[in-house]
Amino acid sequence: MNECVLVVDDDREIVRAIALLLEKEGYHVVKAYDGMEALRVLAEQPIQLIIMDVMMPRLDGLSAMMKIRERKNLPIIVLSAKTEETDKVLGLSMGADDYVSKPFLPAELAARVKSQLRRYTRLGDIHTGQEANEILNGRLCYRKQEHVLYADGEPVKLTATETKIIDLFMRNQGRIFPAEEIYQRVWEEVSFAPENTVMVHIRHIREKIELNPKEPEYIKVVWGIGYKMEKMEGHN
Amino acid sequence: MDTKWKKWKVTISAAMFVVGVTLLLSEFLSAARLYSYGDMELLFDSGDYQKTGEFRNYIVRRLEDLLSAAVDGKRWKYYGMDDQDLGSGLNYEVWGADQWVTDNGVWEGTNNAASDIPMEQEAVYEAKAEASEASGTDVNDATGFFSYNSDVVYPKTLKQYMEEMAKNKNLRYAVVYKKKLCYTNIEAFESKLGQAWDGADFYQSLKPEEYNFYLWFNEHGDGKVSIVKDGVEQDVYGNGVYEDDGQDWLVPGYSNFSVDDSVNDAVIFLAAAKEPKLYMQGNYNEYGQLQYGGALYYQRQDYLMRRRDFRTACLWFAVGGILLLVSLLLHKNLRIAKQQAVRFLGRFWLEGKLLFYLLLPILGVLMSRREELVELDHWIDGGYASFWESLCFMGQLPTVRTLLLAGFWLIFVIMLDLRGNWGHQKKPLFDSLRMKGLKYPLQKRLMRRYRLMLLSGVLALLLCVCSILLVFVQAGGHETGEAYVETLYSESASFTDSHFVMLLLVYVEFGLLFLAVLAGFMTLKKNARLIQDIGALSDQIAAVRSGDLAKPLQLPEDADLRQAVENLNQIQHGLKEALQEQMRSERMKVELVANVSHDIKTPLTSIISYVELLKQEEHLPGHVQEFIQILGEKAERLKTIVQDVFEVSKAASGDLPVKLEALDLGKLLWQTLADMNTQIEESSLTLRTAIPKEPVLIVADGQRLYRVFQNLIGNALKYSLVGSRVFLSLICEADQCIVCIKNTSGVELNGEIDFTERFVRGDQSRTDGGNGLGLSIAKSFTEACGGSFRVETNADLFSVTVSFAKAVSTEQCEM
Repeated sequence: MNECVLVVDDDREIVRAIALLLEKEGYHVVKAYDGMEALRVLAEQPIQLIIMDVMMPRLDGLSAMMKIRERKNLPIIVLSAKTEETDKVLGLSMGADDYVSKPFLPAELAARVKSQLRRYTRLGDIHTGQEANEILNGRLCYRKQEHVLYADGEPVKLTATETKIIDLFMRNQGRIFPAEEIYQRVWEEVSFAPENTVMVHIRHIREKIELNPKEPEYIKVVWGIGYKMEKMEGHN
Repeated sequence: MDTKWKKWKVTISAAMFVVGVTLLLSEFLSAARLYSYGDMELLFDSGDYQKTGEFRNYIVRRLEDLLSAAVDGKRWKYYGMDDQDLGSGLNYEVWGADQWVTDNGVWEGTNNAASDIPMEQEAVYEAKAEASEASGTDVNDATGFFSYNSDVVYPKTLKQYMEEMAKNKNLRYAVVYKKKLCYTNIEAFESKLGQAWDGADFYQSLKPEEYNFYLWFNEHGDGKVSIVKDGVEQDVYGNGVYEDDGQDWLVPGYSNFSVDDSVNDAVIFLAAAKEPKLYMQGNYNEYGQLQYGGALYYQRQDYLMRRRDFRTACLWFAVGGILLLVSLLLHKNLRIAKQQAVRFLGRFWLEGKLLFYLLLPILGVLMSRREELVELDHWIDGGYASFWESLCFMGQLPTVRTLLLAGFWLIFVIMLDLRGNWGHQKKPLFDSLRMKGLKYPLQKRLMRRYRLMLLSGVLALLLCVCSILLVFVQAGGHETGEAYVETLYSESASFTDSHFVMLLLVYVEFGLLFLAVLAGFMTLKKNARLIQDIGALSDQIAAVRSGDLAKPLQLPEDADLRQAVENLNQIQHGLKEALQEQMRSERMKVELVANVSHDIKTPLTSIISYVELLKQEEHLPGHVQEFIQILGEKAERLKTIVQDVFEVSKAASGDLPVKLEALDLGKLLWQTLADMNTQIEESSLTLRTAIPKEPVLIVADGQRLYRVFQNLIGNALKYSLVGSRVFLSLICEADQCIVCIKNTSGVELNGEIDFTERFVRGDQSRTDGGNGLGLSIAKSFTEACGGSFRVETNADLFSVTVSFAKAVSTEQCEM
């Protein structure tokens, strides 16, 4: 585990803090304080992942990212104090693999770094061709026959009920299921107040698969209608 | 029983009032008429008609006639008689009395007003006068066969006259001239006609109980008159000087009344019947029936009738007075009756009442008798000199009396209605007209008002022209209009002539009206532009109000409203600037908040990161670890606050993006509760829900709405009294879905605080652990989704109502 992570931000304290956090996780960290510097470092050293702020002097994060993307395919996590949905979409569409808004939870950032690196270094090449048995969705991979869910290539420990729910969701990505339907299909009974039960299980699943269970990316509530598995637009 | 009696009392007193006043008024009129005939004291007297002035006049004239007859039928000059006084005013006919008058030609003279009656009229024609007056024709129409200065004798006529006289047994007479008995109708002396009179007493042969009045002229050769009534000698001459005051007997013998010598040779005896009778003669092959002695007979009947009428009138007058007095004594009941009447009148529409009030007099005039109206017209023209006279005249006409009374009560009722119901009349027609008028724009309304004024002016003008033309046309009946007008202006027409005055008035009226219409027209022309400008101004105000700030109103330099419009334009300009300023500042605020939150987030990132690093540090003392924990929590909260402030300011500036879709509000509530289940279970509170199982569809942004209810339930959990209950209900009405969350506050609520006020503007002390933005976010998010949000506090009960309109289509929710 000696992946090299490049952290770019004009705020030196943040760079230092991120470096410390990631070094504790066992990564090798290279620091840069603006876009130009980041490009220079990238040319000099082998880098596996970049964490880059958007607003920087000399060359801003998004421009730097576009330059990097001309040659390299390494994962880039964009850091931004802007939390607008449009900023996030813009970042992702310009080649970012993930987007973390400031202020972030250190643990979440670490989890995302880990997730991106794992997919890049281990799985990125392995799973270029899909197997019929596997359903992919972003970080998640579900093997239908074995009823096993993999997150970032690692199997997730799910209970029988949770597995049934995941089975339903992975097979029907993007479709909204009312709680009644989920209950009926998973428990195979009719319930009059299934929301609580379904929600409890969904919460548990989220804790196991989401990087930040409080801001879930995969299993989402469609308020007033039901629940769904978000279909991720991963560029791999 | 008691209330019934009270009701009766009210009705009775009202009836007494009405009847009393009616009686007083009508009987006053009739009494006044009767009183105008004079001899008031006689009306209360025994009923002796011989005491009336009419009787006196009659006797005096007969004496005059007989004297005239005695001195060979030659007329002496007038000494002050007026036939008019003989008129009784009562309707009775004297048959045949005019037969021998009309044979003798017509006296030529004016036939104008009554005052022109020639004074020299002969007493002989009194019968004719009575007859003509009774039949309503003018006295002068066919009178007088003696002209004023005539010395001509008409023996035949005189003879006829004396024959007539003789048949009147109510009046006995004997005429002696030069000691010779010339005429008499006393049976005992008829055989002695033409013979010398031996001085015998004519009265001896008459029965005193039949003829209680007799008069001697020149009995003793002194040229004086002596009168005996009921055997008592009357004082004829008094102080010996004749006064024309209606009291003295107008007979020769006064010191200021001398007669020619020939009269001194005549001796006249006259006796009047105590109770005169009618003497009739049938002459059917010539002219039917004749009556004689009618004058005295009718005089007496007339007198008796008048006396009776007057007494009746007085009696009714008294009764009316008593009734009125009693009803006034019961004034409390009268007041109640008045209130009831007012209430009754108030029930009718004003329009109907006005129509009724207008139509009633017209109806009354139409219904009254034509000849009486002619009289009324005469009265209006000023035919009566005094008010008293006109009043007496009014009392004479029953229809007029009824009209007067009806008019009085009509005015009474109108006054009652006006005073009682002023201001709250029911007038739906006028109201609806007014409301209808309000529909038009201001300029049109103003123009209509002007036009109405002008139209009525023009109509009045036309009416005026019509009435002038009518006067001419009427005049054209006997002369050409021009000639008539000439006579109107000529000296022959006095200034008081009613037609002239009327015409003059109409001319003046015409002139004034013409001026008024002209002025109105000029004003309208002048104000037309002003009205247009007012309308434009009003429209412009409406436009500014509805938010059109782009184009100012332009009026010409000399417009009356120029200044006002300028002011409005400046207001508009100011408003525009203020609005722009506000929008700019709102935008700046959002930008500021965005920048500030960005600037806060960067250091916050460091803080959170280093706190995390500190947490990972080992071997730190326990209290330091605790401090780090606190730092971490506060940093987290600061993060939330920054996020919330950003969202609230965005929502307030209307920049909050919302994704509206149909969703089930009930399900959303269940999901929210499920999502917050842990929090709810951890709290000491009990949540009571009343959410229907059926889908409650609305159109909203689910994510935002979740934040709304998350905040509301979170607030309830945070601020409720420990151990109390929180009530969450969803109610579906016809077109509204209402979510209500009620909880009992843990701390005392200040009812004056607006809990939804934004954190950025609020200045409440925030020591309660919340950030004060929860409700503000909930409110702005609800409103961004098209719902309404209301917070109510009642003592310590805190309730929030969120309502949405029901979604119409259900399709979107099927998926």
